[in-house]
Amino acid sequence: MSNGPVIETAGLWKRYEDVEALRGLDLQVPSGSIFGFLGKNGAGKTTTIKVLLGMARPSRGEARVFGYAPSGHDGVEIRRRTAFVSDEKDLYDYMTVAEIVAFTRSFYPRWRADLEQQYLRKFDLPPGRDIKSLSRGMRTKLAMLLALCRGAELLMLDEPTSGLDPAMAEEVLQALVGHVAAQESTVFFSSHQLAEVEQIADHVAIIDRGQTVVSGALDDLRAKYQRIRLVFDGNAPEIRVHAPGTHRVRRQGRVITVLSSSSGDAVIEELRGYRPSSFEVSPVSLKDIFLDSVRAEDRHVVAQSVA
Amino acid sequence: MLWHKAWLETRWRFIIALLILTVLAGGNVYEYLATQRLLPQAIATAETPAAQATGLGGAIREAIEIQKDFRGYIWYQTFRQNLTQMGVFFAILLGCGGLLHESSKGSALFTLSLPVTRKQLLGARTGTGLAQLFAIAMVPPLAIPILAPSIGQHFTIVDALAHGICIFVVAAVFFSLAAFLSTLFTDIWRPLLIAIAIACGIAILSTVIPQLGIFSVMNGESYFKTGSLPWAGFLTSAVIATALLYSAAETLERRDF
Amino acid sequence: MILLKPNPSSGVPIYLQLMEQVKHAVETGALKPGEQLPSIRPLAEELVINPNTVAKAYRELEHDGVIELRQGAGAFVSDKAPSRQDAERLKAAQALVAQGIQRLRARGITDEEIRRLIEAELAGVYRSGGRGE
Repeated sequence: MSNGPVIETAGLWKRYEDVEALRGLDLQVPSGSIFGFLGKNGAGKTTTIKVLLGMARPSRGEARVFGYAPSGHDGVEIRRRTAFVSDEKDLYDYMTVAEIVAFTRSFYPRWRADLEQQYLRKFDLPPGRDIKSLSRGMRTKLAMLLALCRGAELLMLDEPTSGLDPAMAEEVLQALVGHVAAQESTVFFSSHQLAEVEQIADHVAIIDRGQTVVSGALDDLRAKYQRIRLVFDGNAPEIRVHAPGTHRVRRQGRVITVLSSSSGDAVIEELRGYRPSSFEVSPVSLKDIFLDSVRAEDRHVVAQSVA
Repeated sequence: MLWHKAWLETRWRFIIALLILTVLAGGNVYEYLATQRLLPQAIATAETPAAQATGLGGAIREAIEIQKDFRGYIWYQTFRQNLTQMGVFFAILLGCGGLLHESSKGSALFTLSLPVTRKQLLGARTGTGLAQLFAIAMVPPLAIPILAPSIGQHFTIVDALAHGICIFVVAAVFFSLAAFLSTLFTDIWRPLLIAIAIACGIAILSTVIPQLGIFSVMNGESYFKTGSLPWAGFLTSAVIATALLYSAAETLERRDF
Repeated sequence: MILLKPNPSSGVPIYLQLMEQVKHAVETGALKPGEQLPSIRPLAEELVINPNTVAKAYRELEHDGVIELRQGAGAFVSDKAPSRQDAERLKAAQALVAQGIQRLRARGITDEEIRRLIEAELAGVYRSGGRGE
């Protein structure tokens, strides 16, 4: 595996007619990582993937996969080494399971016939079945099979578990994790399900309105953010935080909650100075980081669409 | 396996087209005798004062003249009418569809994620379509020399093949037109209806502008009347078809999905 | 040896949760010195978590001296880990606690009250007479 990032974008813009889907997106996906790409619906996740695979052309800025720009013959090279699963998981409904496997296989010289047999069994996919008669869950598993057997270095999945019940979603995640452990590939998946990202990703980026608002290794992010809760005997005072980093302060009666993104003790010291009767520092979940970084006025929308 | 995919996507259209056109051609053969019996009636109609006055009489007489023998009858009914009209329709039908239509059904992204260029995708579809077009242009005319002896008539295979080629070359133009329109619209109706409208428009205009006589190339009029194939018409058709396919490729290349 | 599924949303990093589980298992004797732990890939697959996370947990456990990573062979509980004696000590302590609770229950003290009594005792409320910190 190479040393540079597998996926890299710099100042990526994409305008569709009157909609700006991407507005200067910066992204770096390290090789060998499981990278969760988070954002609410319409934030630009699918557009990013489309640009990276050459399905849509950038309006401005750069996008590179394996160091190649996704156009022309370089684009073909990228797709030779990448496996993509779309959000809708639509396949050719005039083919059977066996036919689409044979079809897909013909494009990838590194196809893994052993994995094909394994996943056909594991996912319980009858080869003679018409694709149009498959349920969404079965279609997702078939799409996953077609992706995992390509011998690809990079898996790009758009909302891999959308529309699936929790049991099936877990099966899909399990297949992903098993695959990554054995095959040394990079996984880039978009999702608006925070729980699954937290479960399997080691790196994340949060995209909002076509821009990256947070990105990095998940453990680093969690270490960076903390929630501090101060309880006062009387009404909580107005406080202003001067320590570096971003801080969201919420005051409710006797309680002040501060969501702080500066790691270290400067904030803690400063807040202790207000002499609360109770002082508690607790770790912050990805959900809180997500809600914090996505624009405040949209928060009520975000809270609904987030799992 | 892109060709195989294109085949699966269009096979029913192709089979139906082949069947209908062959049945039409074969049917014409068997209707010959009945048509011949009606000739005296037709001549009588042409000589009525009303027909003479409107010039309709002249037209009817010309039609009768041509259809006096089996070869003329076949040219008039089968090549000039049935196979040209239905041939254009089926050529357009075969040319519709493709990647943009796939995007309305959802699987376009899967196809686009394959390690192939868009030109390769279009090429496979076009290649399959033209091969199918060749079959539906050449096979129905061949029904005529095969079936003619059963009613005591004769039609040469060379004539059938010559007409088949004429049908194919011009049908390819309409196929390419439909293919090009299909790179502009995601639904299957607009390319179909627009191409048909253009074909009708050309048919109407060619009565006043003889240079637009693409249909007389298609029905092999010059071959029927003089025995020589319409090479100029073939060349023009080939150029137009190529230009349309090139435009389709360029449009597809620029398209965002 | 079955490891429980970590909770990804609890705010505690998954690798820490795994480490805690292994340490606890070693302390209570569920994992004995020299015993082999599941290898990274099957464990990641079973728990449906990132293999790097498992790797990190194992590395940190090795750093803390709880386990040993042997090249090519896998991960093993180290011999210097809390010994069986510690485990037995804890087992004996558990037995004492069980006895005490039984007796209190026999006197009609409810579980809630028992719990409060124990917490207060640990906080030293009754002994020092002031507020524990």
